[in-house]
Amino acid sequence: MHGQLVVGAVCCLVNIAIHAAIMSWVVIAARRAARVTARFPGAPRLTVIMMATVLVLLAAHASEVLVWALVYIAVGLVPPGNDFYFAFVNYTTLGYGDILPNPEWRMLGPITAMNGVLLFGWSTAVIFEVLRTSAGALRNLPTHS
Amino acid sequence: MRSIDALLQGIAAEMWGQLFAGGIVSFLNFGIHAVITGVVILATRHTAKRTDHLHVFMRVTALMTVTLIALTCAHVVEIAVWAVYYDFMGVSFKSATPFEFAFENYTALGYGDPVPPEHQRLLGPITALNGLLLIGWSVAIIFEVMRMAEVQVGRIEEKDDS
Repeated sequence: MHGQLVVGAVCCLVNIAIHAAIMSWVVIAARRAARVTARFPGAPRLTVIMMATVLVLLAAHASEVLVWALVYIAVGLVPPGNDFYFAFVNYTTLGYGDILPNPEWRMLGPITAMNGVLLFGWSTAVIFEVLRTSAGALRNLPTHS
Repeated sequence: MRSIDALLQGIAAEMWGQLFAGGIVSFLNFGIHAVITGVVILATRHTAKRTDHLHVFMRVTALMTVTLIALTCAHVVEIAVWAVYYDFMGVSFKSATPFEFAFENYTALGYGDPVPPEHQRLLGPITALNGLLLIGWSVAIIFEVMRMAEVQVGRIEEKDDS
């Protein structure tokens, strides 16, 4: 029981570090991109910056799933060859239930889901930050003064 | 190192193909959502202009309704894109149509009665990853519109104070 929690927590920490690194890079890069492209019209600029941001976040999440898959292999959670699939199903909280984990390590599934939901929330915050500071498109709403 | 080898073996060649193809469909959906972000900006501006004379309660209600309708439509269109992709890949499920299965994956429901076929099993999780990110994006837009509405409420309070 404790072993599962320790392994899960370490893996969560690794993923948090990955997400922190990528997220700081994304926020800085988006700001720079917004500054460099300031002379272009707002709508295409917003489109390109947002698409690039979310694509990088997608890649970040995929690599975090990969880290979980490595842990699954190390502890032999599921039959070989199913690791990446099972990690992905857990991380996205899909939980089909077509593969069940080794009972000795069964806490790893829910821990993966918790980690995934938390990191998705973090991505939402990053998307919000980029939308607000780099694109700043919604700011000037007409109001009567 | 042994476990990395095992992982690379576990992710067989066709899995990388699935990831890559799923990435392209995801990118297409990001494009749709980026366009919808623009539409929401225009629509909320228009709504704010049209409802300028109304009470702040009505204004915020109108703004949020317009935003949420646009975002909901966008998500349904994105699910339809996934359904078209499932159909294109020739994936069939016993107990669900491609659209139903795409919807179930996109929202990360995962009932588990239809599961992806063995040779395309990453379809489901990739759809879920895409869906969760896009729903996050929508939350960011909703938050931004709410913030804008907050400014409107602030104006009323200023008026009351003076």
